[in-house]
Amino acid sequence: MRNACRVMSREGKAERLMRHLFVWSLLFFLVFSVTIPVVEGAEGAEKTWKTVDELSAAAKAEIDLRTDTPRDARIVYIPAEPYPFVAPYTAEEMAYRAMEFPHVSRWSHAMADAFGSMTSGGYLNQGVTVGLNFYMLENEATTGGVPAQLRTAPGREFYRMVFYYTYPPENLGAQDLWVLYRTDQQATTKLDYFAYAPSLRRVRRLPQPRRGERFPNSVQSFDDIVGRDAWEFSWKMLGTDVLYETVRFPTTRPIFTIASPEGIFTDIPTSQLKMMWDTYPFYRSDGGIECYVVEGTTRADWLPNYGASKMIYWLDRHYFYPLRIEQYDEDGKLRTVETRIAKQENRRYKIRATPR
Amino acid sequence: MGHGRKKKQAVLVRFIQMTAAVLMVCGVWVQPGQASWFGDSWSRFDRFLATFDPAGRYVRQPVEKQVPALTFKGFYRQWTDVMLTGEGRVGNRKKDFRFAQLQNLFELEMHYQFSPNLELTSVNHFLYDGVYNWQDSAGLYAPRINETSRKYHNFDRIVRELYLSYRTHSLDVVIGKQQIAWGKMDGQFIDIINPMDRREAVQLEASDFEYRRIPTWMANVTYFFGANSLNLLYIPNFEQNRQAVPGSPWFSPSVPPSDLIRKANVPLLKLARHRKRPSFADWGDHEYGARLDVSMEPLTWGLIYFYAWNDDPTSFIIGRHVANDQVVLDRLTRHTRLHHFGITADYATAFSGVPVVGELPVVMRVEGLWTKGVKFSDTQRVASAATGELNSGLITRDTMRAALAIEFAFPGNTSVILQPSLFFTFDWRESLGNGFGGGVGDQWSVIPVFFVGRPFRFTRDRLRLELTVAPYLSGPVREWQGLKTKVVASYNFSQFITGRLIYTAYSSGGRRDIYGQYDHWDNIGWEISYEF
Repeated sequence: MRNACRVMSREGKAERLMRHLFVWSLLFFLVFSVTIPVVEGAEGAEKTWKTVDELSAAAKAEIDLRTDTPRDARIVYIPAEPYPFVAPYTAEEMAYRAMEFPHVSRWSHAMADAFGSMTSGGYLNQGVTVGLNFYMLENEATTGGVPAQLRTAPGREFYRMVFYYTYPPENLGAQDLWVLYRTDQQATTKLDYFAYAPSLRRVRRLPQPRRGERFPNSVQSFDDIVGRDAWEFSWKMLGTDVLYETVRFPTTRPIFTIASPEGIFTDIPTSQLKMMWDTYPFYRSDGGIECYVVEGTTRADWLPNYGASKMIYWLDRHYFYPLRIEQYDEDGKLRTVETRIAKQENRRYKIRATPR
Repeated sequence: MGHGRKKKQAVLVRFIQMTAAVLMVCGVWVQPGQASWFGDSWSRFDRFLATFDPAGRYVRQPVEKQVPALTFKGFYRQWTDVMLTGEGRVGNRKKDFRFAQLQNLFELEMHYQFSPNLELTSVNHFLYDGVYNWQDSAGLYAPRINETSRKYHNFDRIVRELYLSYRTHSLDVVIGKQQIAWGKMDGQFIDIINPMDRREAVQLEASDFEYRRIPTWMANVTYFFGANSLNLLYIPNFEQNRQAVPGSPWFSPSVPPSDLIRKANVPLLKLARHRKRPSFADWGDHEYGARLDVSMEPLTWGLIYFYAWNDDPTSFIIGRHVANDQVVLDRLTRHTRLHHFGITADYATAFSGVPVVGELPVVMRVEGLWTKGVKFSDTQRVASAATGELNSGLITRDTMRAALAIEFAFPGNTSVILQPSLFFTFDWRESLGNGFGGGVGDQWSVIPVFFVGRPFRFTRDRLRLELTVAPYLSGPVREWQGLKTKVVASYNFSQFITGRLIYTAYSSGGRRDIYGQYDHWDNIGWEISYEF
């Protein structure tokens, strides 16, 4: 009996050895068969970006590489050239144009905001709010948005946002009121923050969030939501790029439900979602969108201890709409990548509706 | 209680303590996604929990789809507190129990929208506290006096809120049974509209006010003009505070007579609890309140007035007789009228150039309440009454309670709050007892509350730790009345399930002092909550 066990044991060892050999051989084969095409693909892939030095003369003629353009006589930290500027554009001027398009746009609107974050372990944090956003400078219909904000005296409010939480259940009924102020180096209060908590049954004033610091359980910071002021950063042109994809949908998400402003819900295949919708007239023939790539470095004299050392924006060449934003922490490490899909719905303002 | 049972209970308590400790360690050290100890099982469990919402998925959502005008939400919450100190006699109490609460609370909140402006709201509570049944204790007999200590069993408690609201841009009208919070501090300062169920005595926290306020029938009208508002209240239905009932875990050990006498004299207890209360049918017995809020950014301020009853009754001497050669004073317990005048203000700012942190956002809140006509029992007058002088044994004084809270937003989503609170009795003298708004057993009391709390990034903000320290100082007699320390670790298992571990300690102070008397009530608690 004991001998029989030994024999079986030897046989078992041999079998295990053979199995290991087979598995390792298979792995070796699989690894190489996958790796080789990737290397070939990388070599064959077209480089989509160009540094400033690599730009053609025609492309260079559209941009202004200066970083010390004349300043406005009244507000000394903004460009002297009147908004919305004309070509050639400096990186700073592009950043001012991009200010129009933060998470909460700079015009009055109602907003259904569904957001979420998921950890690598699968912990899911979701939320749904209904936002009512009142841009206080709306009456200046032709020149609202950023120029009206610039003309507002520092310390004066220019935007009110109310968010009503409908999900998850623990937040149902909670409401936030954000009153945004125009700031400068003296008037640094950006926000008055009031929160209604159903459990407290009362509106409570809270300290304004630290602007560069992300909210708990969220990827976004306060400035990611309400937007950044271009004059708090130093801007420079990095070059151009062509984007072919921004938001990537998982293969498990073949259908996407979208809502029209009229409240009609439509299912469309995610493969048909274009970066700036079908209505964007400036797609390249190969489907790409030409972008300027600009870098904004945090100005320590304006934003000490901000948390983010720099931002890199991919701005579409025609509307200066940010399609991709990279944020780097204080050590210069990549912190977040924000990618966007957008559709222009508001054609009321010439500035936003008309390409450059 | 037999030795066997005691031993079993001790083992049970030890087991629960060990489990709590292990859970706490796991909560702190298991990093979601890294699955350090448990391999993929933890991640799988995490993913399962992430969408685990059976009541929401199978009840709430289908019902709301069928009845679009109806929305509802609710939660089930289990609270358990275990005392860390052994059994024995403490003051006037036989403390032969270890569980201070084993509460199970189910809340169901429903809103039915008749029109965009008109809505009916109903909030219902179903509570059962297992401390009276799940441990063998002679010292816990509160359900014999009041069943509400063990479970909610009547309309008043189960139907917590039931009101009809009509809201327009400039006017809110809310009529029905409801609760109103005028204050927003740690503690009650101008939060005076609804009485409170104080079954947990000193352990009652501001975060529990929502569930412990006793809603009352009232008409509540708010008119909004510009950035300001005027709130008017009419309350025909007076309700009093409910203190910890004799024979409940938190009944004060400093209150005589001893448990044994009280336990043996339940009719006496019920008589002592009998009180003459204001009448719903008498217009003169109703309460009226007004509040004006003004916004002058970045300052908001408000003024309040409340013509109210004292939520705690006062014992009046109404006569005297001699029994067994001893003078016995005849007493009647009834509520007395109070005039409350209050202020509230909030101011927000941000300090620039603060070393290390740079910009430091700050909010300052102030709440103050001056109360006119508070009746205090006065031992001098009681002594005079005993000798035959005709008086109620009471004296009238004004009181003030106020708090200033300064809240800082430090990096890492760290909140720090400093909140010194003051309770003061005007024209105080040493013969006075306790009264609404004044210091406890003293002319003044100061509680400088310190709070710090923050989430931890390595847990993806799922773990949050909080520390609250509340020393109780008073003068000119008692000076130091003890220290309350609370540490809370809360962990989000999912968006629907939250767990909390809470350690509360009452240290130092004397046997008659506010915290000192609960020196043997240090406890560790855990709470699991599922919201749908």
